[in-house]
Amino acid sequence: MARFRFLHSSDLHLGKRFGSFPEEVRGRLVEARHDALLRLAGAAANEGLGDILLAGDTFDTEMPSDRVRVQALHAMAGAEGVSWWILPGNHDSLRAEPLWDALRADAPPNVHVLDSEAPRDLAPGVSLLPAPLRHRFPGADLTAHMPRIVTPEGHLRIGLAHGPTSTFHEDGDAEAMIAPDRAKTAGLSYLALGDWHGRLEINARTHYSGTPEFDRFRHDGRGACLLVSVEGGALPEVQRIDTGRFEWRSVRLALTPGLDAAAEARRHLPPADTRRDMLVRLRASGTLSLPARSAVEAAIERAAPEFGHFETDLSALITEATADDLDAIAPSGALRATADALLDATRDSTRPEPDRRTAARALDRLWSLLLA
Amino acid sequence: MEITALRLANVRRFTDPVELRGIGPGINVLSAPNEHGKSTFFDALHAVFFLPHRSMNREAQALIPFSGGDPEVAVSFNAEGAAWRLEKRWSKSPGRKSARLWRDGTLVGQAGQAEDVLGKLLAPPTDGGPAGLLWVRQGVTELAAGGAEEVARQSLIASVAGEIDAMTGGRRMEAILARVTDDLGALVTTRGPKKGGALDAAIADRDALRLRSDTLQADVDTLSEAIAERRRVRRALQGLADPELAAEREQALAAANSALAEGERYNATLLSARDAEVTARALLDVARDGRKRLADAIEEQTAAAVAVVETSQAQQEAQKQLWAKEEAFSVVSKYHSAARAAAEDARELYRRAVFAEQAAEAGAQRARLEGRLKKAETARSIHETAQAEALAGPDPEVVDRLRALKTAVTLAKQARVYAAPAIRVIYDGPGRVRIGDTALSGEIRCPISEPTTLVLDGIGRLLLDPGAGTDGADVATAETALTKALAQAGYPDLAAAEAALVSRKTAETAALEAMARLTAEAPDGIDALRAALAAIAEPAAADDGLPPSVEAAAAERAASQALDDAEIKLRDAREGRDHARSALARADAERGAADSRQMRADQALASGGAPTAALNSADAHLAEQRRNAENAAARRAELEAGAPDLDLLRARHARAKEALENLRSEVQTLSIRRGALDAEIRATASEAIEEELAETNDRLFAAEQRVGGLEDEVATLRCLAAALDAARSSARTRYVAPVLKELDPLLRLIWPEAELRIDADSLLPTELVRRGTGEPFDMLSGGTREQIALMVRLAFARMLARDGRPTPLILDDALIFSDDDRIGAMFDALTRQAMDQQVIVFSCRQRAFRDLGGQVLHSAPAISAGAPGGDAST
Repeated sequence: MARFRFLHSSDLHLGKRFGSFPEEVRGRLVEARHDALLRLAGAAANEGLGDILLAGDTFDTEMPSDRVRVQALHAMAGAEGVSWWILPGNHDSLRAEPLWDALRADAPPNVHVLDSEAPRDLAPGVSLLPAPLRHRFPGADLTAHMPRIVTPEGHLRIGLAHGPTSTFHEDGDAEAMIAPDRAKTAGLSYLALGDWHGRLEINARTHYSGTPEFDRFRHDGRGACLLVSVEGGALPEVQRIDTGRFEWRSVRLALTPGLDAAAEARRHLPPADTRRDMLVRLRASGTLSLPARSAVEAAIERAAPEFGHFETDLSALITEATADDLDAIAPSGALRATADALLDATRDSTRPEPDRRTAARALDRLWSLLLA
Repeated sequence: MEITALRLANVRRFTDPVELRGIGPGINVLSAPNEHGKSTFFDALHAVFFLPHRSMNREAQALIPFSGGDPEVAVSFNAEGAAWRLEKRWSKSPGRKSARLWRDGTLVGQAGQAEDVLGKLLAPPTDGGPAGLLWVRQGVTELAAGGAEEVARQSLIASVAGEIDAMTGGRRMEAILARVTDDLGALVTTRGPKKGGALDAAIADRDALRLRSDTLQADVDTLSEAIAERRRVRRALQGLADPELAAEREQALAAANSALAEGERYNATLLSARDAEVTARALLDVARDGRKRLADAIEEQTAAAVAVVETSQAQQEAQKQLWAKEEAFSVVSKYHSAARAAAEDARELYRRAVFAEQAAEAGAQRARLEGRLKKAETARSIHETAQAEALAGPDPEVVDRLRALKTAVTLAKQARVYAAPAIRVIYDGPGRVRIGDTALSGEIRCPISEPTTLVLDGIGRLLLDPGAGTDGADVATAETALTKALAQAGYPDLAAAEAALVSRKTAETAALEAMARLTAEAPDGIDALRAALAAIAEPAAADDGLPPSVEAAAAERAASQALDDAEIKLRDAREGRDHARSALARADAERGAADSRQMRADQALASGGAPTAALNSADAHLAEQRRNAENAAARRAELEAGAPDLDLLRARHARAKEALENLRSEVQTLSIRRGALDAEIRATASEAIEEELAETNDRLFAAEQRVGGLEDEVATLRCLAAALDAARSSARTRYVAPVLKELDPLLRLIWPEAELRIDADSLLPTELVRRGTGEPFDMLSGGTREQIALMVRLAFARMLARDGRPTPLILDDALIFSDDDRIGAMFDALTRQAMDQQVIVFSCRQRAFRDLGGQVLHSAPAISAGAPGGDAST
């Protein structure tokens, strides 16, 4: 068998609406997910590939709206010369029979629904061994049957499955996880996996492609797919192709009193020209003085509107008021007494933690009202 | 704290070291002309205590002399029972900045450490009071840029405000509290989230999303269940479509059919055997009944013959009884007729007697009424006559008037007599005096009312004329009136009138008496009496020979009693006759029945031949039928023992048939259900509820975060507001009242009856009340306001001294607007205050401050650099 090349992708989650994001961001994110199909088709066309394997969770729900389903099929139908091989995942398992009935009924000729474990011919001499999810929680390693599947002698065997492996899901049901050595035990040239939204290599023949368009802050960067090339008994060649429109980034600021906190915050943020298509979650921790905290907040407030979306979490940031800070509020008198009382409350270990945090916020507020 | 020495070098105009000497407890005065450098000493003193040596801010730069150089200031002071010396140098060159602090001659800190120790010494008390020293800057110092007096005055007010602000937070505190209150008020009220506020909106949004999420989740659950059911339906249909299952059910139905047919055939045979047994038992019963009827007929024939004899005898006896009763009734009936005729006669006689007595009573009544009518008519006549007589008589009033006129005449006459001259003769001898023939009595007064001729016996005549005084005109007038009244009344004199009045009263009495009689006889009037008389019929002709009604009534009652007795006897006789007739009828009927019974018994036995033979034949037939019945029962029992369970066979057949029908029906039902589920799922899926649920849950999470954030904001604002409020209240409680208490005697030094009013919120002086008239603080003169400003500080200082924290009070030309009189009073206040604390006064008013007393300070070139820890003034 000559070399066989294809695109491996998964977890498109078409139809996801991103309700936790502001209204003005949601539309862009939804549209980007749909466009992921076009970018996958474009990547296949650029590389001269005829097959795209989608390893589950193509749809976000078991019963996506007609609009989502039909538009997805139309987008796939428009990719000339490309065959889409769609595997049910846990979000769109075969339990959703009406979905798969509709897909089977409406699918254009270049879209293949993998609703059974029966091997399919990807190309001459290339067999695809699918492991569709019949339920959201299958409770078993769905690739366990692959070693028993007989394919013609000399055929390349490519597995396609969706679910966790014990390598990154250590606290789950071990029996329900895909064996990391499945490619070896089943004689697979390549096992294309879905479920993990980030790019992940389990071993040379087993890979998670990750989603082509990220949908959460769990993974930094942009979504991608994998260009896979298999030939004979050689190890597959796997190449990442970026497909994501939006870049997601989690920024962690570990601040210390001596640090120029505002400068540190600015240093962690990306260049201004890339910010519009970037979603950032900034989490600050450590200890700051009152003016430093004010400066950080001001820096963040100035920078945030430049981004597609910007979230700030300062809940782990401890404000340490110094004697100078309190002197700045007032050297003496009632305002100083107020500041002292609030500072004492933040340090009073007999108080419940929420009360101490409230007192700390109140001190921050007093400082900002007086001096910011 | 007590300052003991001050030394400075390279500070403004003092490029060479200069010292301020003679500083001691109580009042210290540096009084010198302008440009002497008093404010420089003041600012240097402030800087050495409060300006960090590393600072190069505007205050530090203001110390640098025009010619350049690094300002240096050293101060010696006593505090906490020790002698301290502090030296500082400010410089733009970091290496030249320095601070050193000695305690009792021992260096206790340099640079930052020195500042730290100094900070602790000057640290504000933990209760928030003013720190270190009290300062009153020169008002005009602030005029460097402007020079307007009004600005200087405002700066003094601001200075007071600043002092109070230092204690209570003042206007900054108010502004922050207002901001916090506004921010809090935009979110919550005392009853919860503010309607229309951000928190309220966030909660409403969250609750709406929560509700929507629940609804969507329910819809998704329904959809999920529909999908699951559709899967079950599909699997069920797959199972039902199995041809082997259908064939198996067809075979089961055929086998059940065959078994049921065989069972039904056997059952038909069994039913025939049961019918034969029933027939044999029926025939046995018939034979048994025939045998019994025959025996009964023989017995009945005998009994009927006996009955015929007995009823015949009873019939004859009843006939005899009837005849006797009819005879008795006839006798009693005749007696009754006679009694009834006698009773009717007695009743008629009684009626007639009563009628006669009633007629007699009517005649008597008529006679009485006629008598009364006659008396009444007589009384009425008398009444009418008397009443006419009474009406003819005079009224009593007329008679009374006549009597009065008569009396008037009499009185007039008497008056004339009394008015007339009178004579009284006193006889001494027998001769008499006469009027006419009448001799006048002796010793009696005799009036002469008209010309009178007295005859004097033996003498002659004596003519007496009483004159005009007794002419009798009154008498004539009275008599004329009387005469006129009598003529009007129609009487000749009073006596006639009085007689007529008596006649009138008599007639009136007679009329009353006649009316009384008339009323007695005819109380309702004569016409009523006449009508009553007319109502009584004329008496009829007399019915003679009748007994009295009482006797006739007794006879009528006796005749009635006799009739009642006769009727009782007649009724008894009738009843006895009727009973006898009934008894005869019953006897006739019983006889007839006995005859019929005998006839029927004879007929029953007529066709059976001899009774005994017939009885034997019936016994034989009965035995044969009993054998037949026993044989039929045995046959039925035999068949029953081998009979199949037909109900079971039928149940099996029904079940097999039902199973096949159910299969077909279930396929149809499931097919319909699958179609319905497909439609339901398609409809729900078109609404994209799962996607909306995921979106709603995401939005709900964000909304909950938002609510949580706003609730944190509320908690933060409440916490801050509570802390601010508590601190302000504490400061007011701790300082304001004590300061006002200390201020009061100071104010009275200048204004013995004045009262300073303080605004409760800003704690600033608002007005000064003198002799009952309030003057707004802003309207006071600059001198008055600066005096109040100084007194406020003195009050502070006094209060701190009482608390064991004596604090130096530094005044820089603090009384520039005060006149000579006021300044004297202010000196008293300062002297009073300086009894237990240090006051350092810088002033350009040399002459005025000369009277302040205290220690006079002098600035002079430093004579020594000052040993570390030593006294700079030495």
